[in-house]
Amino acid sequence: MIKLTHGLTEQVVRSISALKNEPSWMLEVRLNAYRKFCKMPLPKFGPNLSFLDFNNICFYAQPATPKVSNWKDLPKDILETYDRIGLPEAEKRYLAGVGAQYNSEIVYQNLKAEWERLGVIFLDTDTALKKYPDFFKEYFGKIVPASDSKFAALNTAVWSGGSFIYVPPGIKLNVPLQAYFRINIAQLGQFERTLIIADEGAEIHYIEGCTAPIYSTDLLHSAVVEVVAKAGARVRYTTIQNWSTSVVNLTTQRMLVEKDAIGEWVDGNIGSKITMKYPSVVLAGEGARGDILSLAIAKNGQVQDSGGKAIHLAPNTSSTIVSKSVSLSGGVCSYRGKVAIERSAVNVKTSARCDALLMDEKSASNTFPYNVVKRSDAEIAHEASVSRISDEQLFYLTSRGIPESEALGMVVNGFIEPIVKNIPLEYAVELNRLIDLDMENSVG
Amino acid sequence: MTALKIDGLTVETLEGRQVLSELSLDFKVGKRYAILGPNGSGKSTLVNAILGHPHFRITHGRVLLGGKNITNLPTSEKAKLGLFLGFQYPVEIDGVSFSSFLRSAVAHQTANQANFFDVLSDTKTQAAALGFKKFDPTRNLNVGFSGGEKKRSEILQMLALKPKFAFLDEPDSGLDIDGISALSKTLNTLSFPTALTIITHHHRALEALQPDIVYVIKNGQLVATGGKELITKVQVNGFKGM
Repeated sequence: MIKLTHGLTEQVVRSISALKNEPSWMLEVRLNAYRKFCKMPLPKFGPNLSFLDFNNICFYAQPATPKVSNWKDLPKDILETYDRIGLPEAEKRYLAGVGAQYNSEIVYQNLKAEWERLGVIFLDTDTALKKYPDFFKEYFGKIVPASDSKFAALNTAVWSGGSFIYVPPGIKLNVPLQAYFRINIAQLGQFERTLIIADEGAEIHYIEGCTAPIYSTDLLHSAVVEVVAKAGARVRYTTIQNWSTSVVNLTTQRMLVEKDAIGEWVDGNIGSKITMKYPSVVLAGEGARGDILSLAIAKNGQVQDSGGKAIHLAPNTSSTIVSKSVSLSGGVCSYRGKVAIERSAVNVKTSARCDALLMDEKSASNTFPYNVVKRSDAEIAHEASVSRISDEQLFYLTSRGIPESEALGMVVNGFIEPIVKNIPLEYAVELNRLIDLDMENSVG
Repeated sequence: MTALKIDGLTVETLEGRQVLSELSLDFKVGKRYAILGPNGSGKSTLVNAILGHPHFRITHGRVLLGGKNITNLPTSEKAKLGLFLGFQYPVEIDGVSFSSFLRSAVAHQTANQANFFDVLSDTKTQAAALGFKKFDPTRNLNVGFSGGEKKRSEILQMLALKPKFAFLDEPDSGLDIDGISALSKTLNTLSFPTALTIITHHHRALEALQPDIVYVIKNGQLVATGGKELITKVQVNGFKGM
């Protein structure tokens, strides 16, 4: 196992690139990003991150390293949760990073043959860089440049792992691609870099992460996801993250949506100590559409700072942002949304709706919508609501014999249903069970 | 027969305003009851407090079921013991379908372990009998239901849960004449033994239901107990002088 010393220096960046045998131009990209990282300040909004000590973080560990060597070393609450949501043993071990990886070999082989026949490329990003450097020269760092933020710069300097996907023109994949199936590669990297290109008229749904809690000993996870939806393409990217509650998760996800293409983010944040994540759509071609669904659940000690951004650059573009957040046992959810309409964007339609549910007095919810509108012909709607769990609703449900914890679960699951109905069934079922479990714990 | 006994119940709001004072009455399985009284007399408070509504506090007295004190049991436990409240204003619950809600409720009825598909199929038949047009169990619970649909939804829940003590708080309000006669027909042909209690202001419903025992509550106190003759008396004289 190769693990570099803690802290970030130019030498560390050079070592990462050398270990991977990268082309020299990628080393240059990394070094430029490193210099930007050193100069840039922490974000001036959102949760306080000043406690992050970059000298105490290890920036490269070789992939596929088990996070813990023994099943018994996992925290008890995570083990219990696995049992309660009914994960199969093999999957539990895989998620926990203990022992063999989740064995979906047979399913994977069949899908792989089908993808290859269609000309779809689905690889880990490191391998893809070696095999298909031209894609990287054209797109890497173009949608999320290193100068975007301190953490985009950090990821660009030290990235490792992640997924690369290319879907050829006109190819419509009806089975979602999942990081699950991309076996033999550690998918749970700390500084993942994902690049997805859907060529003209292509369709793809990519699913990353999972609803079951993932144990991590890492303090910081900072990924970058870049997506290009070319003319007439449709891309949906679903991510559900449930990192253990020691992790600070600062991720940049952005999609460039070209003429008549559709870009969709379904973003669920239920884990981590702090999350800052605002999936974005840049509507660059006429008639492009972007939809963002955001779900956040914050419990004791957690801050979920999430939302979405829609940047309208072209005429007749449209966007929707729907956010649902649940705060309980002292958790804090903040919705942060940005809608920008440039002068070139004639006849734009955009709507944002964010609903927050507060489960108790200790918890909090914030809303920070931010609109930059340079045209007067845009149709803009924004709705926001904050509601408390209603004792009338609980009384109604319990008066039918449903115990209070289950009644709470029903109300919360009902509240997030408009988002959950858009995620794959197996994730939805797990998510509902997780919420029921949280409610049991909160009632005591 | 099992009886639910309300013994000297004093109830106040969370702000400390007394609504019921030392109210005593009882309900026996197999009998029909009507609770009458002027607006604001405490009729709704009584049935809500019996089930444990969080906006009310029982300061004195007890609720006894078959001699057992159930005053402070959680609401869900009272429901499992066979108490049921048909709400005057049923709440809406987003994202929870009528059928998934009913399935949970039925699953918690330890007394009668019915197959849910049978229950749902009966519910559809009963909905038609009640005049619940276009009844769709996949609709979210009470969300966007009309006033009449909400009232019918309460009755459907009662029929599925087969409670021993059913309190229906103004089940006839919001129903048209045909709705009221369909409701009466349903209540008069219940397939399970129950102590059926209705709170109503309308003569038509009382006429159809023919209660065995009538309680009159005024200013939070029980002011009269009697048979059907009390209904006529109230019809003629109102609640004055009671």
